[in-house]
Amino acid sequence: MIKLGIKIAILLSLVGVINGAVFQFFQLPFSWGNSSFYNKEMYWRKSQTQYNTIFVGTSRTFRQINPVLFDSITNHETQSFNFGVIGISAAQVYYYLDKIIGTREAHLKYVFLELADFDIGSTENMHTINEKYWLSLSDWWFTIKCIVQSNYGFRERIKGLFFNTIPFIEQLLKFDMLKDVWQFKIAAPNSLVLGENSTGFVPAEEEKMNPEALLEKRNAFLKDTSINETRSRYSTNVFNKTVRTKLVSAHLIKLTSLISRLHKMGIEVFVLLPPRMREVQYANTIPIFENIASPQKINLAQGIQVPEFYEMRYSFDAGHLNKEGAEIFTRKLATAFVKLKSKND
Amino acid sequence: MLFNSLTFLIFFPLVTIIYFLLPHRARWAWLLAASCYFYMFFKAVYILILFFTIIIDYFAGILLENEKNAQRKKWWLIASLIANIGVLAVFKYFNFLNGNLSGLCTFFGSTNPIPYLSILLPIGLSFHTFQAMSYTIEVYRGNQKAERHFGIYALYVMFYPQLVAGPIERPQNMLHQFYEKHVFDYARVVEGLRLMLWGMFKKVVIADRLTLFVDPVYNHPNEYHGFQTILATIFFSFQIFCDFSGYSDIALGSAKVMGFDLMVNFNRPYFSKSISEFWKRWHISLSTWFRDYLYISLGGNRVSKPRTYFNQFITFMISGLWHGANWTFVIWGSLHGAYLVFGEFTKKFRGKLGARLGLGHFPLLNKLVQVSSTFVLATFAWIFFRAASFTDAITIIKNSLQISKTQLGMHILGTDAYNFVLCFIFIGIMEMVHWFLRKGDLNFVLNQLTLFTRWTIYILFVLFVINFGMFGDHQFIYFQF
Repeated sequence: MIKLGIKIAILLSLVGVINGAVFQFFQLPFSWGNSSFYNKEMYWRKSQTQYNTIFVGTSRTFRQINPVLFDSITNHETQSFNFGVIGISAAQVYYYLDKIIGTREAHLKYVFLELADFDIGSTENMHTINEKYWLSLSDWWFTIKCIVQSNYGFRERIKGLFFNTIPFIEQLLKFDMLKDVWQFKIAAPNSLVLGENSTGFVPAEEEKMNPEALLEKRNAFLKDTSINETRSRYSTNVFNKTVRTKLVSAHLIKLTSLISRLHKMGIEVFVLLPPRMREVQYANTIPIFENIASPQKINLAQGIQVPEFYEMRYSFDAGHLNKEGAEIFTRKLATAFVKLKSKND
Repeated sequence: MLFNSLTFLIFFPLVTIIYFLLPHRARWAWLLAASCYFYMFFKAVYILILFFTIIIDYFAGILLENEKNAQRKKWWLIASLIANIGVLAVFKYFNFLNGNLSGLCTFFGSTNPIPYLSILLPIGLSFHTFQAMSYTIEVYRGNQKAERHFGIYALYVMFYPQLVAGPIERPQNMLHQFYEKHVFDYARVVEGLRLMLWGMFKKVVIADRLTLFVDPVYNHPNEYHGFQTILATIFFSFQIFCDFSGYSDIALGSAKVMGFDLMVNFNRPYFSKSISEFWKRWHISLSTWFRDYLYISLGGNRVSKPRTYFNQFITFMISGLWHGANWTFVIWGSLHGAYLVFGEFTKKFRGKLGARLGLGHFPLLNKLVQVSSTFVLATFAWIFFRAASFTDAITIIKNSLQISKTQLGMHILGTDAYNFVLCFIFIGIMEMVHWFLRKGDLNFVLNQLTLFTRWTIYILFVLFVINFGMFGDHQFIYFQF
């Protein structure tokens, strides 16, 4: 049985090496597996000299930060671009940020980094290209450590290990990825993700790429008003310490090292804690937020301090603000930035 | 559980490793538990139907063996067959028969008072029912001793590799294997894995890719014409072959890894030179089942010529109905029955015609004509098999005749060129392999090769599966039967 195991391992290693070589031949850009980010990156590459500020994060960044409004409030101290994309979690946010700063040509002054949580993953998403194409051994290991240390329950953590390890194995073997390369190669540039004024911001109501899915979420949210109240309660509970939380140290270490790396490059980092996360997500992120050494932290999550973010009229769905809410969010963010800047100066 | 799923990728090695680690006396229980889990993965409650037939046939077997009175013995057999066919009738044919009854009622100006049943067809019902029936028939005929170990008998019906889509095994071939002690045999395991890889290639690389071109045409037959429908039908011939033979190869392979030999179900059927040969190569376990238990029981060919033709025709017609509760399947089976009868009827004439045309001087050409015409006949019959209704099948046939140049193009079915080209490449590769397999089965051919060539082939096919497999929730076509 051992002999067979060794031979299968050799066979799979050879397959992985051959496929790795084939993928090298295609010379794929770092964001090829996420068309939204790729389109944003392509645009940014061409016009990055116009910008000195970027927002990096998940859909909460993408849907809630309006760069035009932000820049006007900062009195054009910032010329910003929104790099937020949907369907990514903390590890992928850091992967993108790492790559952006590695390939930047322009003088980047400010980075607003959303403090996101780790996704446990799901059966539906496990095999999608977005879940796997970017995973290196270190990214996978980092994710695994964070999941193990997280505040998720035991079963959830086991699921998380599974849902994050399968994509990694698939990435090693390049399993079922060739068709995605083909799709990537034949795909036409898509400017919809850039939104109006090519700022990278698209409020939920103006989504044109897959509006049906968003509408479905919104309808479910409107049907059950308790969801909104629950989200509001979550944000208060964790800050009030009524929920037991433990620090995900692997996440903190990674974030701290990324911030110091950016500082060394002369880039100021502002860590942003967004509203409307789930309780466990706050349990995972708040201790990190509190432990970051950097003073440049902006907390826009707490229900007591920013009650409007938990009001139905400013909400789009359970996790996101609508266009009006995004405007308030952007204003508060910009104001907090101006305050922090004046304090530092 | 689907063979082409991640769950199976975890399930199979786990079950196999534990199987070999367990002492022999506990293995049947482990395999039975694994088989239950495998089946319950689809819809758990339907395992009760399986248990029902298992209990009936287990006791029927013992009663049949103990019964000395021939008349009563016959009645026991009939009772067991009625129970099995009854399950099939309720779950598979009730709504079909009721629908026809409704049609008749409407014709005579009345309404059918019997309501339709709102039930899903348990997966693989026809397969395990037929396997169970073969047991009682063989015990009745005295060819097989009744199995006294309930667990082993249950395993005979439920053995997971062949539970949901065959091969439909015979008790003489299977039951004794559950008593044999199987040790981990490296060469045998490798042979099993090769079969699994070959089956997986046919299923996920070819069959599931062909679906992209077949489904649109057969789901909307009015929208496609000429080359489009012809190509979709030809593609379906390959799709169903790759889907079903792929499943069978994975079943055979996974059983082989654990030390079990299942019967071969396919032997390059599209290389057949006649329809009768086709049925000796296609779904062998079912065609031999019908031959042994229906055709021969009807008198087979030991009766007058017209009666033999009738026996052949009726056997194929019922075989068609076995596939599904729809007139399209009956027509499909009947077509094959008609082909066979016509073939027998014209055998002499065709021989003379061939001699006159001098085809004997060109054996290769002769073979090519025979193989091609058999393929065309089988492909034509597949139209009825695949179409959702008789009307759809007629539409497909009519539309196939409306050929125009505009239908030709890189991707004449309207989907992407990438998959279209890949279909041809991989069908070509499969037929190349089939050409090599004329000398013997897959393992025989591979064992003749050097280590380097063998490994190159392994790597190549793993790469094909990994890079060109269509992964997702692609069921096997035959699961619905």
